[in-house]
Parts: sequence; structure tokens; C-alpha cells
Amino acid sequence: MKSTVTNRQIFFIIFLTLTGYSLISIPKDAVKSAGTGAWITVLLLTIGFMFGMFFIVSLNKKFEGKVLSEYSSLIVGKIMSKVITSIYSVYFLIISVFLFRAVSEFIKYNYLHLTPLFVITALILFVSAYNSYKGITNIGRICEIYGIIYVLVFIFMYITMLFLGDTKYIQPFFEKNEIKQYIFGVKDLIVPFLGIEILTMIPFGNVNTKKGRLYSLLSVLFVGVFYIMTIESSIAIIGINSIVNYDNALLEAMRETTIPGTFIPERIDFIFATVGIMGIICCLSIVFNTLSENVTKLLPRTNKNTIIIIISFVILILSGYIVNKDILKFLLNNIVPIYGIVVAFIIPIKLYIIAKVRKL
Amino acid sequence: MKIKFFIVVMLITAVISIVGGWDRINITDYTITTLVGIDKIDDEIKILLEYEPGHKEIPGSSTDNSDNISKSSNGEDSSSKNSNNYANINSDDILVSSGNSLIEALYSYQRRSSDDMYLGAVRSVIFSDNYAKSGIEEYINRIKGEIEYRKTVFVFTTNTKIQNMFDKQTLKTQNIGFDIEHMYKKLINSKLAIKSTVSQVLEDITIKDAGFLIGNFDVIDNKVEKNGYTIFKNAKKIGILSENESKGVNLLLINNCFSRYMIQHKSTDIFISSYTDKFKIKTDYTNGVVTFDINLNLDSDINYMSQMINLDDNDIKEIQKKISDNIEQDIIAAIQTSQTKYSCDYLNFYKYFRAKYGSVFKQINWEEKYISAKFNVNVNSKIVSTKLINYE
Amino acid sequence: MTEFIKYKNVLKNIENSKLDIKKRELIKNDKSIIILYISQMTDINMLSEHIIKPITEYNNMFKYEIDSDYITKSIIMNCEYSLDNDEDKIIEYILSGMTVILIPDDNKYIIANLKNIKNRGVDLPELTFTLRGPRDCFNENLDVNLSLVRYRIKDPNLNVNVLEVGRRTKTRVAILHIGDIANDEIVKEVTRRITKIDVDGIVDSGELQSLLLNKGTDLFPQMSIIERSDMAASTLLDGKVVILVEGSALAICAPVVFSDFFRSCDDLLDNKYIAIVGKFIRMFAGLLSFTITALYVAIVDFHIDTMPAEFIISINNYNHGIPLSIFTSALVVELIIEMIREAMIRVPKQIGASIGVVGGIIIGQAAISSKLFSPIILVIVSISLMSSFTIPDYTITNALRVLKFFLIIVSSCFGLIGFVIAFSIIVINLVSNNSFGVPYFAPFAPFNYRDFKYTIINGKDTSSFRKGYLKTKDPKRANKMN
Repeated sequence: MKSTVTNRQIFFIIFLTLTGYSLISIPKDAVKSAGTGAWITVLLLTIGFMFGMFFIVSLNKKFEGKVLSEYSSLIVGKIMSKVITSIYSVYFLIISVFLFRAVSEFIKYNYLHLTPLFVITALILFVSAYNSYKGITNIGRICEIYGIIYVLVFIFMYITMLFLGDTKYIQPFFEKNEIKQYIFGVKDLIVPFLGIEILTMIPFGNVNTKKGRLYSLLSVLFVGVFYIMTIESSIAIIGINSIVNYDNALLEAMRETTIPGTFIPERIDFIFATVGIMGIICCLSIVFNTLSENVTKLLPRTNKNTIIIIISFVILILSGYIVNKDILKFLLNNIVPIYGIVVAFIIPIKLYIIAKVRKL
Repeated sequence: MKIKFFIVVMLITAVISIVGGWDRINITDYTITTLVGIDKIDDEIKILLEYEPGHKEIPGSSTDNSDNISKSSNGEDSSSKNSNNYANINSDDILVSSGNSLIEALYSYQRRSSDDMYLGAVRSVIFSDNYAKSGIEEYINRIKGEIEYRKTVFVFTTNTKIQNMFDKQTLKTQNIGFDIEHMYKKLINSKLAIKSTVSQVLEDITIKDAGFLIGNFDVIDNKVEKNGYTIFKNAKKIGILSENESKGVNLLLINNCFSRYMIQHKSTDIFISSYTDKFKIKTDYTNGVVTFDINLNLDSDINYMSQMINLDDNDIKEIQKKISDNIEQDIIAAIQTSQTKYSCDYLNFYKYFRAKYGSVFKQINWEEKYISAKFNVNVNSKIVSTKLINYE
Repeated sequence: MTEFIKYKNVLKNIENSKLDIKKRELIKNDKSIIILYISQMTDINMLSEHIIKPITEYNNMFKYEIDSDYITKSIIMNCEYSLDNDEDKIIEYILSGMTVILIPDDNKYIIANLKNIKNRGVDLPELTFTLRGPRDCFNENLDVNLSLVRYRIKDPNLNVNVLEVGRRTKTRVAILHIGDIANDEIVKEVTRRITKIDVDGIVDSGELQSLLLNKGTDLFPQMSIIERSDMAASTLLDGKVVILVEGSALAICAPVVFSDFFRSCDDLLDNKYIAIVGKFIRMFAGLLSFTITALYVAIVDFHIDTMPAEFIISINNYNHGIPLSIFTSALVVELIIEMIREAMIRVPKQIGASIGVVGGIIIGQAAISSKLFSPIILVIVSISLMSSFTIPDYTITNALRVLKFFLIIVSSCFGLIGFVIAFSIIVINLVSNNSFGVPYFAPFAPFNYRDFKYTIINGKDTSSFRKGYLKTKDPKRANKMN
């Protein structure tokens, strides 16, 4: 069983997949839908996704060493298993196209204004494909190293931003009249939490049996806390009314922070250009790897390297030329949340129930 | 197979390194702007830019800047600078451009300067009296839209003629932008001035029912000096506060504010400096009336007396009471000015109200509620002898 | 003289060939004992005193026939001998420096070890310096090297396995490991790879190292060099395998991980806290040496607005009037520094001092005043050069030197984003490497807290366990402190 990941690596894989890209845009979405009480919405979603994660991890634990495409054929038969694998492949393809396009646009409009879009996409595709070619154990090790740096730097940043900002902006924390708004805001914030389904393609080994479930659930909880810190510290710097105008609110908040001291650089958004991009690279590699593994299970006779090269070209063409802004927005707002809930909740829960009933 | 892969990679790298680097900026092609000033004269907008030219080290010339300053004087004496004559200001380091609207003025300097302007190092932005009265929102939004422009840039106004601000020879300084920014940063660090940066102004503009304050610099006796604050409402200037009137404002808006008072006691003048220790504002909203309870605790220190006398416990208690009374008067005066004279909440009391009654704040008209709001001010000052001098 | 029927072919070959093999005959009862040796590789005094003299004396005193058993056990005074009966191997033995004694009417012949090969003495170290540690380092003679290791480790479990590599050179290669500590699989893998080698010959441990690598990329070394005997001893006690090659003054050890290249033996001998500081400085300097130029190019070309305004103005002033762009000048200065580095290795000692002066004047003074380069880029490149010298093992600096150029090119096209992406590609490569089955980036990833502590801190509380990623048989050291 060569491709195993340790518990700590699972923690960081889940954490980086969820927060890699969504960190930039979550303050705006949260404030738009729920105001200053957005932390309640985030907390509700965290609990919901921990619930969904429980089923996925239990399935992994039951069928040790197997991934979804393998144990689903034991539960529901070969043909249904192929159908399920293709559902997951299409889902991950949509997510990959969206992610690569969104990240390339983010880099282009914030840092490299004149570089052509397909060059940036090709660059990040190369890194993700190379990472995926080396296997999941490698990705796990990279996530471990990058994850620790990411968490430490960002927590330091958030504490600084909370101290230097105005805490009156983040109040009131809770208002009774607004409870409805908090609860209905849940539907706008599903996309930042989608990512737990990558665990369906990571096999659990015998190192993971004891504490694998605990680490996965802890990871989702930590993601929720991290998101809350992001939202509050961004609001403290920018202000509750201006934040809805910025698509990349966290980056703007970092640009507006000045750390007092003469030897420190004045604009600290270069921290996002280094550490944030590390997290984004991990997130993209994991999604790419999951997609390539799914497609490999669909076409078992093809070589994995060929599949990786084909997928890279497909994503490059799709995200560069075919998808334009309207299609992207339509995908993001309407299709991805529903598809994500099907893939992350409904299918694993159904499989779990069937497995229990059949006493597998 | 591997060699072919490496050859392909090397080719791509070579191509990209020659053709690529689309975003490389050669900083030597730019001149670096340090101060931006905006003025409005009879529907015409003028923009003044002070910049650091990169070609100071011309071979054969000295690096001393006095050559540049003397070149820019054009032989005119300083009295004629006080006129509306902008032409005398154009020199090695200062550029003036004008246009009928902001956009035209902004881009006419591209046609007048020999190098590109780099805006990433702008220190501060100064608005003149006329332009402030007509509204500063347009330029603030431009700063928001431009990526290079930092949002931590300071924003000031000036009541004197803006050409005097850019008169390097009279002010006898190498770089006005650096001077102003260092001066204001020093004041902020000594807790004597409020922070007025673009990011705060951007947030304050969004509240239509309240105003905000911006620092004011004037040229007094051929030197730039901070002189009170300017009051803005709906991003338009509605009034000014002098240095005396801004004492109460400082106490309300600055964390750990530092203030100085002179108390007369038993035929001596006692000079006292105090730091704010605790500052709490509680708000209440009953029957449609807004109430604010301000509690202020200060630590005061006796710096010196004009004539040394001995002070016993009763004396110290009296002095403390006098200090508290003085401070209360300042605060109440500041609040009353904002309520009655300007009818505008520029002291940011709406933040405290919104922090407690967020949903109510969205429904009411804050301007009306603020004018009829009630304030209870409670000041306690304690003398803490920090210099270990015993006056008994 | 009776003819030597049995070894007739061999003797004929020796006479016809031009191998310069000397022959000494001792006659007794019309039968001659023939001694064959090569005079350049044999100790002539010991040959005369310990072999020829006793046999001649015996021949004069007694008339009995003697055979090989009797000679070896009762007559000759040599310590090391062996018996063999394979005719084809005689020339092989002689060529490897042994003395062969052919006895009439006997199947077996005697091989006596009277080797006296000229070599350097035990010298001072030239590559791995130390302030406080011992300074006896290996030389080209395999027996001397083995003796240097053996006097430090007197464990009966110290296994020495000597193999021969190379068809023509038949170089002796010794694999050392401590039997009840080292992981058997690693030892087996090393032995398997060495026995699989089929080449004409190897002359140095470096050649052997290149033949033992993985099939993957070769940029980062998977075995490290050992010059001093105390480092070899502590490596063996850690549970690793040390390989000594005859004719090479450097030993190699396996398996090795990335953090081992930053370990200097002064860490064990000095104060614990000073060792931690030293380690951090070395690791930071290693990171700095290959990233600082790329970072400078990325920031000044793309992200100059992160710097304070005074710095922007001063860069503007310093770079004005310089014909090369920042990227080009960085590349050119780096190339010049690499040329100086190559020159420093090959220059004779007498001229060495003047190179320093010439380099300093040309690159320092004249380049700046002629406005060819900006002074900032020269400072940055010299910091990079100096920090690369802090790494104790020089084999990894070679890899970092090459990667530096890759980083500069990518970060000059894409700024900090390109820097992070290129850095990630390097890290991915490092992390996926393995050295004889041990992950190359252990203990950082896969993370193990105890090994991580041992890598950073070397102290009494952490050194009671050996490193976990080596999966040694005996994980605990004997460490009873009061």
C-alpha cells in the first residue's frame, strides 16, 4: 500500500483544499449575505459539513485501502460504480476549470497585469500536473510543509489586523431580529466549504484507522474558525460598508494595513503573493490529482501520465477559450453548490446506508 | 525520452525569458511622485505634483540640491509667489497641469512630463479650500481604483493658497511630501492628531448621515504647520476647527490621547500633561431618544509650576477637580459645536450606536437623532507623579 | 634443477609477459621452491627476513621434504598467509601485491601478504573543517582507513564486507556497518547495487557514488562524503552504512537525508544552545544562498511598491544610467562569480592571493565607478556567495548553484508568483526523492516529532534514541545518566 498519507497530512490536505482559493472572496460573500453576524452562518455551515465528512470518513475506514470507485462497485455493482465515478469526474472537471480560471484571473488582475492569461494558466497547470504525477504521498508531504507555514503566517496576520483595525466595525455580534438573515445566508456560502469530497479518492491505510476520523473532523472545524478570523479581521480594517465592493477583500485589507516600524516593508500584500500562492498551489494540485485519479479509474488501461497530459490540455483550452465570464458566474452561483451537495453529502450518505444495510 | 523533455523545457524557458516579463517595470524609467495637490479655480481644476527626478547624478554636477532650488526660482522674489501665477512653480521638481475636469487634468500631465509618473510612493494628498468645498469624493474614488496608489496615503486640506505649499525655495526644504508626512506621523505617534488616511475616508464617505474630519496644514510664517481640522459632510467641506477647538475632538477620537492644561492655583500656574487611561462610551436608545454616557479616566502629571509652592492633599484634590472640569468643558464644547453649529456627527458617535443597535441604525435618520441626543460626560483625573518629584 | 611440471604454463606466461614479476628460486634436494613477487609492491626486507631466510636455513639444516602446510605453520614468520590451489589465480594474486610461493610436489601454493604500497600519511582535513574535533582523515590506502575506523569502534558487531569492483582495476570496496544496529534492508540494497556493477574500473569513490544512484534525477546527492574518521564512526553508530574505496581519500555513506548536509560535528562537541544557533544560521544561509538574488530581481522588477519610499528613490538613483537591466546584470554578475569560484579551485597557491585582489578590484571598485553594475546587485550576489560557504558539505552547494539560475530566470518573468512556483517545483522534486528507501526530506515531511527534535537539538535528552526514519534494529542508545 504505497500511496498512504498520515493523519497530520490529511488534516492539512483538507484544510488547504478548502481555504486555498476561497479565502480571498469569503469576506465579501459573508458580509453581503449576513452582515456582522456572518460568523453564525459560517459556524452553522461548519457543523453541517462536519456531519457530511463523518460519512465519507466512515466509508473510507470501513473499506481500508480502497477508494470510492473501488468500494462502490462492492456496494452497488460495477455499472452503478462507473456511473458514480463519471459523476465525480465531471464534477471535478467543472471545479478544476473554474478554479484554474479564477486563480489565473486573480493573479492577472492583482499582480501581473499585462501577462497573457493562458501563460499564467499554463504555469500553474504545470506545477499541479507535476505534483500530481509524483503521487498523493508527495502531495501530502508538500501540504504538511506548506500548511504549517501558511497557518502560522496567516494567524499572525489576523491578530495584527485585529489589533490595528477598529473593533467597532465588527459589532454587533448578534441581533435577534436578524436571525432569519443569518440562516438564509447559508446558501451563499456553500462554495467555500466544498472540498471535503476529495477524501473519497484518498485511501486510508492502517496508520489512519485509529485517529483518521478525528483529524478529518478537526480539520473542518479549524477551517470554520479560520474563516471566521478572516472575515472579522477584514471587516476591522476596511469597514462594513466598503467591504461589499471588493471581490478580493482579504487582499485589500492587507494592503491597507501598515505595521508600525521603520524597517518593515510598507505594503504587506507581498505576503499573500508568497504564502497565499503556496496554499493555492496545494489546493490546485489536490483537485487536479483527484480528477486524474478519477479518470484513471474510469479508463483503467491507459497510462496515468498520458491521462495527466490530456487533462492539462483540456483544462487549458476550456478555461482559456471556451469559458467566459457569464458562463463562469452561472456555474458558480447555480450549478456548483447543488452539484457539490450531491457529491459531498447525498452520494456518500446513500452508499453508507446501503453498506450498513447489506452488512458489508 | 528524458533528454527530449529537457530540450523542450529549455527551449520554452529560453523563449519565455526573452519574450516574457510583460510586467517588468524598469524603475529608472519613472519619476517618483511624492506629493499631490489639487486646486479648483473658476471651474478649472489644477493638479500639482512634486516628484523626485531620477537624474540627479548628472556627471560633472554636484549632488547638492541647492542648484536645483536656485534653478527653480527663476529669479522671482517670494512675494509674487502669492499670486495666482502658477507658471513660476513649474521647475525641476514640481509639475502643474490643468483641465476642465479631473480626468482632463489628470491626463494632461502625461503630455507635459518627460517620464512616466510612478504613484506608488506618494506620501500625501492635499486639497485646497475651493476643491474641498466642491467635493473630494471623485479624487478619493480615483485613489481607490488605481492599484499602484496606496490606500494608506494621508489626506490633508489647506486653507492657505496651495501654491505656497509647493514653494520649495521659501519653505527651504528638499522634499515637501516627506516633510509633511513625517510631521504628521510624529504627531500621531505623540497622540496629538487623528489618523486621516484614504482608507478611513473611503469608509466614512459611505455613511451619508455623518461626517468626518481631515487634518489641516497651513503655511504660517514661511513654514508648514498643522492647524486644526476640516469638517466634511457628504465629502464636502462645511467648516473648520481651530487648534483650540480641536482639544475636545482629540480627547474623543484618539486612543490614549495626550493633552496639556494650565491650571491656576493659589497664585501659580501649574502646567499639567495627562494621558487617557480609560475611555468608555455607553449608548442607550429609549423612546426614540439617544443617550450617550461618556466616562473618561485620566492619569495626569505635574510638569512644572511657574512658582514653586508646596502642595498638600487638599491642594491636589482641588487641582484634580479643576483638571476634570477643564476637560469636561472641552468635551462638551466639542460636542455642542457638532450638534448645534454644524449639525453633523463628525465625532463618530454613530459607530458606538451602530455597534449596539445595528438594525435600528439602518432604519432611523441618524442626523436628526444626533442633533437631539443627550450626553452625560463624567471625567475623573488623578495625579500620578511619574517623575518621582514630591511636592509636599 | 627439476622442472616445475605442475606450474609450467604459469611460469611460461610470466616469462613471456611484460608484467615485471620477479622470481626467486630456493633449491633443495634438486627441487626448487619458487617465490614470485612484484618488487614495487612488496616489502623486500620482510621478504628476505621472514620468508627467504627461514626457508634457506631450514633447507641447509634438514633434509626432509617440506610441503605447504609445514612451511606455513613452522618455517616462515609471516603473519598473514593463505593457501590456494587454483592455477589461474596465481597471476591475479601477484598483481594485487601478494607474494606467491610455489612448492614442488604440492597441490597448494602459499600466498603471503607482504604488501608495502607507498601512500601518503594520515593528513589534515581539507574539505570538512572543525574547530574542536579530531583531525585524522582518510587517505588512499584501504588498510590504513580501516585501521582508523577500527581503533574507534571496538564492537565485535562491526561488519566489514570487502568486494571487488571493476574488471580491470579490481578495486577493493569495503562496506562497513554495525550488525545489530543497521537496517538489514538498506545493507542488502547497498550490497546488491555494488555487486551489480559491471564496468572496466573505478578509480574513486565519486565514480562509485554515481553508479549507485536511483534512476531518477541526479541533481541532489543521495550519499554524502566523509573525510574524517570520527565522522565515519558517529555515522556508523547512527545506523548507517559507510563505504570505503581503495584509492580514494573520501568515504561515502548511505542513506542520507537533506538535513544531514547541514550537520557539522562541532554540534555534538559544543554547547547545546550554541549548536542550535549554529544550525539555524547554516540552514538560513543555505536558503539565502540560492534565493536572495531571485528575490531581489522579483521585488525590484515587479513589486517595488512594497518597499518604503526612501528605498525606491535610492534604487532609482543608483540604477540610473546603467546600461543593463536588473535581470541581465544579475545574470552577468552571477556568471562572473561562478567563474571566480571555479578558478579558486584550480589556481596554485602562490597565485591564489593575487586572484583575490584582482577580483576585488575589478568587480568591486572599477565596475561601480564605470557604471557597469549597480552596487546593490554586487552586495546581493556577494551575500549569496558567502552564505553558500557556510554549508559544511560542499556537494549540495553544487546543486544549489545550478538551481539559482533557474530561480532567477523564472522570477524575472513572473515576479514573486514565478519565484514561488519555481521554488515549489524544486521542493516537489526534493520531497519525492529517496535515498535507498529513506524519504529525502525526513524528518520534516513525513513529520516525526522526535526526529525533528533530534535534527534541531543535539543534546543528552534527545540523543538517547537513534533516528526513526532509518528504521534501525536497535532504536535506543545506551544512555544512562545520573
